[in-house]
Order: sequence, then C-alpha cells, then structure tokens
Amino acid sequence: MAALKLSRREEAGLTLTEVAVVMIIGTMIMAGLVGFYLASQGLWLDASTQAITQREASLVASAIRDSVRVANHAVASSVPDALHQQLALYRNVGDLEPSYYFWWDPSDSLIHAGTTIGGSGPMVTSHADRFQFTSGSQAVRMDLRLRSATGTMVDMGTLAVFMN
Amino acid sequence: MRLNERGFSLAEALTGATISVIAVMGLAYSFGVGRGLVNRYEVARAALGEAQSQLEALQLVPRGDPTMAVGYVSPPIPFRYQGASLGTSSWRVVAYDDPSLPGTVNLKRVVMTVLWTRGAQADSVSLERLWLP
Repeated sequence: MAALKLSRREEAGLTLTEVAVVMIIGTMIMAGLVGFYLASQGLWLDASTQAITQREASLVASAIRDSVRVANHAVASSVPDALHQQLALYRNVGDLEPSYYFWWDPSDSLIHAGTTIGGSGPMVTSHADRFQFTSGSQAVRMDLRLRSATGTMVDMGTLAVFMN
Repeated sequence: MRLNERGFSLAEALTGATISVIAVMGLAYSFGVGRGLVNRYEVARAALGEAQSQLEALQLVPRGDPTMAVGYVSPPIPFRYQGASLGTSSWRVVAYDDPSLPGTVNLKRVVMTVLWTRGAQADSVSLERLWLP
C-alpha cells in the first residue's frame, strides 16, 4: 500500500490547479500582448493615414497654385454649396470658356480637376470637408480641409497669383 | 540529479521577462515618437504652405515698394493653423550677387521665415526666392 502511494505521488504530469494557474497567467499575458498589438496597430494606422492626408493636401495646393499661375483670371462659384466651391480658370483675357476646373463632387466627397466638369477622376483619396476659394483680379486664395480615413482633419491654405 | 532537471529556473524566467518588457517598451516608445513626428510635420507642412502663400503675395507688391528694398525686415505676421495662433511669419530682403550677371547687387533674395511653437517644441521653416531688382 505504501509502495502504491509513493508511485502515485511521483507520477509525471500536472495537477488541475497547476494547469489552471498556468492558463490564467498565460491568458493574462496574451491579453496584454494582444491589447498592446491592437493599440500599436491603431496608432500606426492613424499616423500613416494622417501623413497620407497631409501629403494629399499639399498635392492639391500645389496643383491649384500651378494651374492658377498659368491662368489669366478665375471665377469661384458656390457649387454645390458655399462650403464646397468650384473654381473655373480662364487661360486668356477674352476666353469665354474656362480652360480648367477644380471642383468637389458630392457623390464621392472628393476633389476633382479637369478640363471639363465630370470628365476626370478624383485628384486625391481623402474626403474634403471644406474646399473654398476667394478669387480676386490678381490672385486666388484656396482653403482646404481634408479628412483622413481615421477621421483626423488636415487644413491647408494657399494663395496663387495669375501670371498669364 | 537536480542539475539535470528540465525546465527554467526563476532567475532565467525573470531575465527573459525583463528583456521582453524592455523590448516591448522600446517598441511602444518608437510608435509614440513616430506619432509625434507626424503631428510635428503636420504643422511644418502648413507652415511651408504659409511661406509659399506669403512669397506669392509679395509678387503683387510693386517693385519700388520699400517693403521690397534690400535690407528690409518685415514685422512679424501671425501664423494661424486650425484656428490657433501658433507663431509668426516674416520676410527679409538681402542683396544677391549672381556672378553671371553684371554688377554686384543684381538680384534680391527674399527670405520668408515661419516660426512656431507647439508644446515645448520650437520649430521654423524658411523659403527663399530670387527677385529682379
């Protein structure tokens, strides 16, 4: 009987308590790691989408500046609304038809540019919450607010002078 | 017999855990630094846009205007971003000698500088353009 008790005590393996303790500790460690991974992934995603939106805002400002410089005059209109306007650029002084447009499309909330309205795809992939122009006889002022995929707002403004 | 026992000692486990924690903390710190840099360059990008706009606006100033004379330093203009005043912008006009052109002061160099502070971080961006006198 004593020999039998001794052999049971020396049996290899883990008790239920040991397994439970290991599983609880393992679950806590895994939960911490998964939480850290998800938080890091969210932080990285937020930062990278914001950086992309910043680049896109700069791209829009640069494209508008370049187009305004080669134009003679421009007409800004509140189409489709006062917060999202349309800019029509005229190459020469006597032109009746604009040579280039910048506009915000309400169907996709994106900024488009082209020689005809509706004739080209979006310039950038970030949605525009504000796209406003102030057009004078010598220059155009543009104010832009883009929204990144994670909801961060990026503002950009620029002024361009007619040089044609 | 005890020396041949398989498994980890407490010291080994603690060492491993400490190294893991340091590695994870380093990784977390790098993510935080990356996020901070994105925020920092968000303002820098806006400041560059401001400098470009100011330089563009100076093209509307008549050539003989005193604000475009060599040696002129403009008073600071508020630099605003997302409704907050973050700093100032100003320009100065300095003489520039292009060796391929006759004379010693044949061009003007306009230096536009935007200074701003966000948190404890002071930053600046400068943009230059050459002007005909």
